[in-house]
Amino acid sequence: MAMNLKLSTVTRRAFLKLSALTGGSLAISGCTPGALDVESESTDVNASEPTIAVEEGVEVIPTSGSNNCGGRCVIKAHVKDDVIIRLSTDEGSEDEGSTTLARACVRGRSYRKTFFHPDRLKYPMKRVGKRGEGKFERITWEEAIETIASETKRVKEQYGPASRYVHYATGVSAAIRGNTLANRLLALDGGYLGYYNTYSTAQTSNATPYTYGTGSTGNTPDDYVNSKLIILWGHNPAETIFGTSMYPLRKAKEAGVKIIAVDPRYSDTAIGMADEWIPVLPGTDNAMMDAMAYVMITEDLHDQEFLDKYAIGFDAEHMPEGIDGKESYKSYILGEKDGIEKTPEWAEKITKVPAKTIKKLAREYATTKPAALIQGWGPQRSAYGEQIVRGATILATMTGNVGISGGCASGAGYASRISIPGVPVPKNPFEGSIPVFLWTDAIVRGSEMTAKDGVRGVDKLPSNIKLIFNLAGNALINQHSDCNKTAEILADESLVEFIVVSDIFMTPSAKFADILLPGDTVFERNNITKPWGYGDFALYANKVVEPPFECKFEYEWLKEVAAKLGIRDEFTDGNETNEDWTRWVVEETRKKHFDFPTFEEFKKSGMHRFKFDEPLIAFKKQIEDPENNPFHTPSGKIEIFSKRLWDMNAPEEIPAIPKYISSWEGPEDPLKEKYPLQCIGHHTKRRCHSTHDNNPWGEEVEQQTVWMNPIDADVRGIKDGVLVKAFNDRGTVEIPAKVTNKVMPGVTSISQGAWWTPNKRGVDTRGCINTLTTHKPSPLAKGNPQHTNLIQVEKA
Amino acid sequence: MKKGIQIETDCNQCGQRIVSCPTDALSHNDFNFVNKDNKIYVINKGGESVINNATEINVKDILKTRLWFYDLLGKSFYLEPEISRLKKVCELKIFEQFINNEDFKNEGIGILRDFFDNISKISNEEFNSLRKEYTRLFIGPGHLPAPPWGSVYLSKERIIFDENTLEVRKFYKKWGVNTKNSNKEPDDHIGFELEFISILIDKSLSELDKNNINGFKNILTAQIDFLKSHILIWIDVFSDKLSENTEYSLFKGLALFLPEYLKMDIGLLEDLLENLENLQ
Ligand code: SF4
Repeated sequence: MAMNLKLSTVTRRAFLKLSALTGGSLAISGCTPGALDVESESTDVNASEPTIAVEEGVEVIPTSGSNNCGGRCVIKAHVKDDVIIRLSTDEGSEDEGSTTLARACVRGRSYRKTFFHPDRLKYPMKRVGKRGEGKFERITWEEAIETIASETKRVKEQYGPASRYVHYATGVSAAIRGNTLANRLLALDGGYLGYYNTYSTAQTSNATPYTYGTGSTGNTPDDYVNSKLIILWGHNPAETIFGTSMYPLRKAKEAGVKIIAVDPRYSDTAIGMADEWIPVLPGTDNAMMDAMAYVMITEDLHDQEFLDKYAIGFDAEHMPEGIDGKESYKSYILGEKDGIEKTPEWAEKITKVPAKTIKKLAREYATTKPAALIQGWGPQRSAYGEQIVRGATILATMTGNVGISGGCASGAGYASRISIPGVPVPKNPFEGSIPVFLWTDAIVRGSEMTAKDGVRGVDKLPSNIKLIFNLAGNALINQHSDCNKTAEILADESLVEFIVVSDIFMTPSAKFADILLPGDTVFERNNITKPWGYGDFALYANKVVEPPFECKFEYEWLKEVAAKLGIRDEFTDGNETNEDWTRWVVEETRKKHFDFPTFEEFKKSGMHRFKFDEPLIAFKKQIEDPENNPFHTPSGKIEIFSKRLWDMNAPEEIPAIPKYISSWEGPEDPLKEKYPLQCIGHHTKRRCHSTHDNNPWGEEVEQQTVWMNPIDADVRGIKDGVLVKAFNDRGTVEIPAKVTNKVMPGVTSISQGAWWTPNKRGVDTRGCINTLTTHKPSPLAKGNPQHTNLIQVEKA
Repeated sequence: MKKGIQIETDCNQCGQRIVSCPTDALSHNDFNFVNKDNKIYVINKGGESVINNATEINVKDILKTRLWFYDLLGKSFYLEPEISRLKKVCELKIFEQFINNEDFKNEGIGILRDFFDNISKISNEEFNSLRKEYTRLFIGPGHLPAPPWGSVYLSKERIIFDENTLEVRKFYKKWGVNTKNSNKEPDDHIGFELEFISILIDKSLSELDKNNINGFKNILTAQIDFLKSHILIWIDVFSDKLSENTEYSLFKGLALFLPEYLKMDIGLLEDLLENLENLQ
């Protein structure tokens, strides 16, 4: 029909004219973008209301946090029409058990915000510019998989299997995770260069066993309430999240347990829990510990009987065979060999803790029984972190707080009583491994690395690292030390020849990918999680929605790579999907935990709370029945003096007894002339390491700043909130200053995990602490010393 | 009607002769214009009718023109630039015609006119960098300066996939339209929303063919509704962000043009509805 319109207004005249001019001539080619489907049965256009009803139903599906905080919280997704419209969390009552509450923190409450961010990686990409430049082009999954498979093959043929390396990554911290799957793949394909240690606990996990023969030295947190005094030494569970330990800590506080926090920074834990805050200069903890031992010894407050019975190396009378009595801990404290008595006054000068305070703390700790000196993992991430760990274990032993309820053996403090296996990795045909922190060394000089560099399993590495899988991890740049140096190493395409990164955002690490793959999030895959040691539950993380765009869980494409390598069947071992693997995990778990629910029950409820009648007390057996239960040390005793360390013959940096070692880039380093401030990188409640940094709400929780004391700020003319540059020879960050009494004078703190964002001048404008940290490892563990830095701060 | 008829008409403003419409473009049409003796004739299946110097316009022409615009805009935001598509736009000289109109002043039009005028001269290199710009703006992998999804502007969390997405989905469903990949791609991508309008325009055209005025009215109303309740509420912010963050004239031009065009279109639809009584 010819319908003509008479114009009543002129407002749209231009368009109407245009229509008159062109109307009939305009035909669209193809039909529109083609993203929509029109149902063939057309709707009733005459009805003014819709004819197709939209379902209103909302389903609640349990899932779980799986980034690497110490918790794994219940996250319930409220789903409507395949869209998560809201989240809720554990509604379990507090009575259900002090170590099974799994309520989401500020991060969990904003998982939607983080994980449905419009900046998600959406499609596979290949690098088109120079490596690290961040220039990528979209490719198909087929091309990505083909490239990965052929490079994996090529590098193996050219440099040998040990040139292939799967990097440390904790973005998916659950039973099924990309990095172990990639290890599984390479183990089946001839091998890879393995690593040991973590970025969290290298020093403590290596040093603690020299005292006790194991790192499992913690009592479970449901025991906190049995203490009379709790000393949180560099321990900040409120922000870091250690399993579910905050709730038991609160219970202890309510029960009247005195809590003292030793920390250079007035942490949220100290604010919320502590009766007293003792600030100590970073890296000087051993001077304070030595002085505490001095007080105990000189005032005869230590538990000599306990020491005589359970320990060796405390005094001249209890030394291993053939070792001079002057090498004992007591002799060192009293200065019998070096002529320095480790008095509180001596320690005050080093630590900036008043002698009075040290004396008081020593007396209180020695005379209040039981007392728990609980170490966090922050202090040990330092140049001589091994000493800090061992120092505390000795204090715990001197006060007889080992193996008893309400006490704490100190050290690494692992205390897990539940066991949930992950996807198994077959034995690696290449037996060598490196300390994870030295992976950049293994890129540059791998084939020169030997036991001296911490190489284990082989005498010498056969080659440098040539290929890296970095899956759901940001330690390729951001969480490793010295970003500038790391970037330089990675940018050199003649060193590492191929890098695969899978992630959910364009992180600083992702920028260095050759093939960049879009990963999925916790809502988009089935998995099983459990918190770090301190939490007695397991969660079924249900897949709630499909991964958006072309995102995929790592398993999906690794299977295809395996197919191209001809090992798909071995790789999957009959487990086609994540759900197949979670079934396997449940079956394995039920072999050890007989009351663990069936797969169907677990998947539906989303949570299993383990029930225990009483707390787990580390070394209870060893203390109650030492004859039948020796410690797992060479002597069978608590080794205050370690013959194994002695035999290493490096007493300056690896002493046989724990000692204060004046640290490079510590408060006594002459470098202080140039860089007068110490700098640490605290954990912040707004991120899990680097996850959530791009959630802008985090900036409202805690802005990314460099914390400094008003005394240090004043002399530099720095006011709260002004832009400053914090720098040393390794790099510069430019962020606002937070001028606060919550950090002690002489110390600055930049919360770890901000995304390294260098501008054209190479200045990091986001404030990644690792712009300032060093590749130099700690002596024994070869661990990351990320809290050992000297810097200067100036107005920008 | 025969394929391949070329349309010549004079521009109302400058009087210039305009030759438009590539041959294959006519294949979909069941009607056309011709210009005879300075009068525009519409040729329909049923014969010819004269329009009095563009003061009376065939409604279908309006709808077809709208359809063309929504198609162009939808594709521009959802699909990577494709040279043949851009060249077609150039041949039609649409923006040239727009720009000569006093009544619709918009900075975007000039930018788009210049862009399309030069498209035949575009080098491979330039075209590649245009494609890269599209990827940078709407695909990633870096930070998207102007995410093309409504919920990013409307939800509390500023995320993709939100209740707003569902509202849009619901609206589509009312009209028998589904997002093909709704569990992978949010329904409220600007490209999809514009495509949805073009589907409604298509539907309205068929109602016209059926002489169903009531149905026709409902579809027009639905378009106004959808534009107002789902697009206009965020499009200004989106287009501001987009124009601030690109130096490429195609995208800058589109960013500046889009919201003004949509606002004008709502007015046009309202006029149409008001004037439906006058239809014979
Ligand atoms: S970030 Fe950790 S503590 Fe916070 S909600 Fe997630 S799992 Fe729980």
